[in-house]
Amino acid sequence: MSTVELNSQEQNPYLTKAMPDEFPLLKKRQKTWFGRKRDMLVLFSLLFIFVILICAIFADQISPYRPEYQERGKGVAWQDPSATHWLGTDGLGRDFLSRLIHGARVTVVLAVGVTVFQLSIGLTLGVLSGFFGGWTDFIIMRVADLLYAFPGLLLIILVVSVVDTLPRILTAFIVITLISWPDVTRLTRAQVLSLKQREFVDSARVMGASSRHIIIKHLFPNFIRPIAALVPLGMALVILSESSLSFLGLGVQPPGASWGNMINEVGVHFRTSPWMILAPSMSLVFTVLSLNYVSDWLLDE
Amino acid sequence: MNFVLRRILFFIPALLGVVIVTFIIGRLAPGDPFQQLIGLGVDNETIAELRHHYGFDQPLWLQLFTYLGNLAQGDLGISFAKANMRVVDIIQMSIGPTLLVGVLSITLGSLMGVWFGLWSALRRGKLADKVITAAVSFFGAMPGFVLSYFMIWGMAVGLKWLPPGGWGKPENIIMPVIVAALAPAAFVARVCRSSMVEVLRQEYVTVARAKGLSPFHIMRWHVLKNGFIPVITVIGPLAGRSITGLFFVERIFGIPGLTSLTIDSIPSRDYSVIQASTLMLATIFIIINLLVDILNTMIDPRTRSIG
Repeated sequence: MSTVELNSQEQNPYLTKAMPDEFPLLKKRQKTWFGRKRDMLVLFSLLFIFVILICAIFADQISPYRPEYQERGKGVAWQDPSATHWLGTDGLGRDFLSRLIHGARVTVVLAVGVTVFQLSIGLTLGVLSGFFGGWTDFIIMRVADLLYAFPGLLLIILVVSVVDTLPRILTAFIVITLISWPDVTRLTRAQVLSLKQREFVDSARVMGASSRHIIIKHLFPNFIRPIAALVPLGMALVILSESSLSFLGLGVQPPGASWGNMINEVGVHFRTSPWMILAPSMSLVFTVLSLNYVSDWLLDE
Repeated sequence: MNFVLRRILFFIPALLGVVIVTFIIGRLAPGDPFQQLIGLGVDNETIAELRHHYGFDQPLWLQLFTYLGNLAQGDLGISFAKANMRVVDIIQMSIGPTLLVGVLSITLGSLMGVWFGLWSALRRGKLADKVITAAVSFFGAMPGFVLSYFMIWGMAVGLKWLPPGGWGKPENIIMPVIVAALAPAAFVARVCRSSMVEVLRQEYVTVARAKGLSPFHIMRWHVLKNGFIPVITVIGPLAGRSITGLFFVERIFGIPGLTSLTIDSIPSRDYSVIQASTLMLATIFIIINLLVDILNTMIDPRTRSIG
């Protein structure tokens, strides 16, 4: 137990706050957010992610039109931005802004959903593999190896194109989850393997603690931090996969809106109105960038 | 050399695994290519006969063995959608463009990545470093299809320097290769920068400087030799990224390669072609990984004991 406390004290931000009086050189370090360095880019990233989240949750309230609503009449398609259609309309006369906002919903639902399942599978298998070793470890790691032998998107495309009993986006959801757990598992396994040899595990065992107790009370609090820091990065990868699939026509099916299939639909008429591509692609790029920055920031201790 | 042999031996089960996975996914699919014939007015007996002829009524494991046997003889079956076409011929036609664009873009991407990574490591904290780092995270976050459209917008629609798409002429290849190279370049630059910064910080570099060795000598023998090891390691996974990148590049620029073949065969449920093209792509991926692993052990003997 004592080792755990010592270890957590090393990372305790309050302790470093008290230090500058003795070490003036450390004064600069005091300016932190949650014990990490200040960074305006991270602030913007967090703000952007927050805006995207709000768009996703309140999509129906915020967007001026229904995403599938098509205006009737002449000249409704490919309208330039105006007061009634802030971002113009697409080839079928649908309000582009509304589609963009609803596209955020798909992105967020998929990113969060996949991450939840990926973490549950990945953490469980990683702990099993690292803590118990032996045959469990061997089988889990060989399956992970096999999944690594395939370029990810290729496997997703293969499965999604072949399975047509489920809606494609649901298939994509399942397959992305099923191929993304090995990353979490490897990381967890490595952490557990090194933590297992620390003294506090032996002490706990000597005191008669069960494996379950050791895993939940002693190992979990120690290995969850580096893994949590990688969560935004994993989300960025999921978002990229989803938009790629939707772009190829294998994700969200029309008339549903997703940033990927919006880019595809606009891309057909790319030469007449190239700027239409800006809104969905920049939403996508900035979301991914923001998540990457946040992940970098969390990792940087 | 013993190590190389072991790597090659591991290559066989990996390849077999990929074959089996592609086969099973293809066969687990609901329905088969003949089902759509019902809509064309073909009666059930003919369809049953066709199923029997192509072995679709046999148990799955038997089909797998037949498939593996045929595969060993270089026979990938016939296309179900394109009349009188052998899958081998279709694959042969489209593997060229994919390999050309793929190999060129990985090479260009690695070179660009190393160049910019080194540049920003040597100018750490200066303007060049900041610009390169920002560009690296921007291009790293940008999916291939977005990048392709921006390239077309600038190069073909705006400046009219290059054709927006098509295949066959030498100038057709420039834009796809650049687009496909940028993502790997960003990745390599990131790894290269951090690795070089780490090496430049080492004591042996300071010692070499203190000894008065020429900067060129230090770079060549102390910095590059050690700094390149992580860079070469990531070129394997990079191949995977490039292959997935090709899906968009080939589609947007209209290149008749393996990935467009895969996507185009999906609506017609041409499973034999989908299976074969996926298999080819995965095989290319595995071979590149194998080559990189072998190259890696030749450069850095320390990694030999792991494998």
